Amino acid sequence: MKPDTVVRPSSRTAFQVLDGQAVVVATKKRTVHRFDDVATDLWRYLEPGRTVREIEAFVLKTYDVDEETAKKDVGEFLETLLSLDLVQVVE
Amino acid sequence: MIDRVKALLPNRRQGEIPIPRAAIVELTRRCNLACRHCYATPERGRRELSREEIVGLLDQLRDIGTLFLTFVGGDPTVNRDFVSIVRHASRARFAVQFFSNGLLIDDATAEALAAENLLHVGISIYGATPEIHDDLTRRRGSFEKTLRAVRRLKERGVHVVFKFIATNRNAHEAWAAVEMARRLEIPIRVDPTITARDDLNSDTIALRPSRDMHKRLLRDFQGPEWTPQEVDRAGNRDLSCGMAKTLVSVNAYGDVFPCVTLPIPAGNIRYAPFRTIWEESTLLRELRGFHRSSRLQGCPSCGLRAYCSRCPGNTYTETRNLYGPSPSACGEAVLWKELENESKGIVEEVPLPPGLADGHLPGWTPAELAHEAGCSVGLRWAADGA
Repeated sequence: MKPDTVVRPSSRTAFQVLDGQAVVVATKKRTVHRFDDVATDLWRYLEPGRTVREIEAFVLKTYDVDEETAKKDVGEFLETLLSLDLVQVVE
Repeated sequence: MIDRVKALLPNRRQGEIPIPRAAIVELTRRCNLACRHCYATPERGRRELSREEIVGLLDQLRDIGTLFLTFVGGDPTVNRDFVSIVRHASRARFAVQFFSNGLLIDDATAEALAAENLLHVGISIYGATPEIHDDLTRRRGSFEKTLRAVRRLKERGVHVVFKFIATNRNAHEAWAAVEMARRLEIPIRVDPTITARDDLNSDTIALRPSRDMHKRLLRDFQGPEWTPQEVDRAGNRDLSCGMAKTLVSVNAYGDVFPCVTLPIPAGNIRYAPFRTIWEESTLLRELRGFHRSSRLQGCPSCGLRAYCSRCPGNTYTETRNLYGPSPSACGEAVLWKELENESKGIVEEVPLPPGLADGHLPGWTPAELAHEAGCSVGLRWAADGA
């Protein structure tokens, strides 16, 4: 995904943060996913729609990781969410 | 995957106020059918919630942590603001489903619903032919209209599920209805549970399928996925359920209930914020400790608990006693035990559950019970009492 690509929760998701953990429902696929603390932080951050670059910067600022690790982890996280229909790319 | 949701949702520790993860919201008590078995009875003279009041409730539910939202009625589509309310819920990121007869779902409504983020739509179907379905709904032409609505929704990609309530007037068509659902590629749930009405009138009990039919329905439609449940003899957790904990219900007049099956109000959202009712209601607090109550009667010592699906709400409407045994659940537990025995080739007398102490189950005649007692498996007690 390119740094300027904007991602946000798919319009085909329902979600809620319960006791600090995001629970996300992919309504078309009819699957339910429970996020851990870090994934919940990222989900909350990207909820209004964020660029990949913004999400990487958020991870760098929030967690004790180097830039290379942040880019790799964010890339993998977003690819996973895309494959599960939980986020969509905003054109 | 959706069925695994309980395992995926976090549970709060004992003593903490739970989150109502699922809410059932009645959009109207009015209906365009007059189904013989319906539990919902209109309350004359009471004003139903306006769109603004319902939207306000949804916002409060969202704020407190609700994720799964089910709209019911009457028929929810009879509410003139139905689509607008669904749109609000969908865009507030609830996982939305609704139960309907589909009569008011025309092309425009189906189009509008398909544009929203629906988890699924439960459509009531009571037969495989117009004669049987319309007999139960007491409206000629309803079968065809319902099927047209189903096609409209399905063509637009909405996930539809059939709900078939089996009574003594339509149960014989359950197998044909399942075949019809298979042809339409729509999942179907056959349910032989007929509850008393929510005004505690139990005239609906007479509509229950016969004992033999009930058993065949369980065997053919629920048997493949059924296993005995785990019994918690020390804590009685299996006698409880999600009412007042993970589940809440609000009716069309704003009354808040522990569950849609239990018609004891905990408060009204016109007079107090939802959160206040949820956190401070004496009734809801008591029900959260239901399984620990010393008022539980009969069930804790019952030998058929692993086979029982006792619903506290149905127990209350059936017997007016929340804490006692449920005759209908007791009867079904006997059937499950018999089915298990038959599948294993076991011949034994099934013990009498506490709710059948008089040997009679509402909806099953003494003659039926006596007939069944002639079988090689179980129910000798019925012959003794007949």
